[in-house]
Amino acid sequence: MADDRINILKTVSLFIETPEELLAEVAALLEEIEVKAGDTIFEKGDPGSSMYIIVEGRARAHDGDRTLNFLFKRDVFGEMAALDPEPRSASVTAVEDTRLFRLSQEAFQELMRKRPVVMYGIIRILTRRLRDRMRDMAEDFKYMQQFARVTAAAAAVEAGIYEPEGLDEVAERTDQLGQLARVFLRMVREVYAREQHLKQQVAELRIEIDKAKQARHVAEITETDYFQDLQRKARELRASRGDRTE
Amino acid sequence: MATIIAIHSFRGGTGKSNTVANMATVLASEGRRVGVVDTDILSPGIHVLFGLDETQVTHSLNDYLWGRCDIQQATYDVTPRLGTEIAGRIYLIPSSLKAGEIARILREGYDAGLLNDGLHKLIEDQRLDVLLIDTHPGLNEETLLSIAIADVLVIVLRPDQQDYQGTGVTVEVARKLDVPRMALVVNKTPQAFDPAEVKARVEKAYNCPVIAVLPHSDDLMALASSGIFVLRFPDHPISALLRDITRLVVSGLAPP
Repeated sequence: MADDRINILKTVSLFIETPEELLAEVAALLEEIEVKAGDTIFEKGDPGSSMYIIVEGRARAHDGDRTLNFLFKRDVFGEMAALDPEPRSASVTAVEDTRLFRLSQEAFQELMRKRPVVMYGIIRILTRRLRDRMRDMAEDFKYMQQFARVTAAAAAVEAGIYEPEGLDEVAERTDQLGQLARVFLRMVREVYAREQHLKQQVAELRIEIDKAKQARHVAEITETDYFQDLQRKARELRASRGDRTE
Repeated sequence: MATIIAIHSFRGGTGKSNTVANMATVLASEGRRVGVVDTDILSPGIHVLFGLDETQVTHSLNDYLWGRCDIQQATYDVTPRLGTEIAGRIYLIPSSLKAGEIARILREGYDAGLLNDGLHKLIEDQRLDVLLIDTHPGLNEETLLSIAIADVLVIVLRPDQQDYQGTGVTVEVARKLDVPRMALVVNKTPQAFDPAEVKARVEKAYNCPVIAVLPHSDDLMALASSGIFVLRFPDHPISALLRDITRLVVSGLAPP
């Protein structure tokens, strides 16, 4: 039984830095409780001061009727409350008959006072989580920035500007945002090529004749003596040929 | 009475010479006696289409205009070179191919009066039904003369702004020379253009009939200067268009 408890504790992230021989002391503090299907384990707003580990069964975290999450065997919930009590942010209700371990704040803090090694282990875990969280935030921030670049590029294309800047870096991402950027860049290039092609066609189909320039050009030719002479001869020639064919 | 048809482009590269060679072939195939005069000295090339190479050209139009020979000596019957038996005949007066002579023509120009006499003598000597003049791009004196003596002026243009402007000048000048009939051929039209739309717009811009809108053709470009398209690809849609152009240009002419 004690071994079972230790094995379960080993899988709880808060204790993975705790030396195995001390886990037995933690295990001794666990209080086993059983709840029936439909029983409430705690309610949103209750003062929270213990953490729970599901040994057998299934529970539901919810806010009123709205389900936030389902909790299964070996899932841990309310663990922060064991270190820093706060009102519960959600309710948890057993979905089926469920067996849990509860570790109360008082017992836990008592152990940490007695066994600083347990506390150091927990501090190390919390520090690691904080570091991960900060890294995640930096990642999230970068993601948001890159996402904003794609949005800005889309707005630019809508405004007729086809030079998406800074998207190459986004396109190198291996996730879906990267794929979106790559597809977007390809589409922009295609749309640009198509629009240029159309513009060119429209330009070529629009027949613009500078009439003043044309008149000047025509005058340069027709006002020469040569042309006047040719014009007269051409008339005579056509008249004589006309006579002959008639 | 021979019909004189001048084929002109404001700029080079419109496919004018190719159009002339094909028209001549269509006309001759129907049994007509056709003369072709190459006055396009800047890019004399029509002789190549008719299979005549430079070593075989002993006398050219230039030699006649400079008094070195009479017009008959510069006349080549190219009918046997077509590679296909046809009912009529094609006589070609090639332009000079010698670089030095081209420079001299550009410097001095032709004697337009002599050109006129020569062309009429050619018509009489060969008893021509039709004379096609492949004109020099632009509007120099010999081109103006070609237009002045023509019964029909065909202007070949490409659908681009430079040609639109230049064609406007040619059309106006030709009207002042009382050319009885004038027609436009829009050539090398991008495939994406709607030919009916191009025809409508060009006709409206110049108040002049468009007798064909020929698409840009890779087939035609591939054949380039190595033969007569209507003979090589008689079933090609472009050949049908070239026959249409010819029919429209000579409509009203006495049948051969």
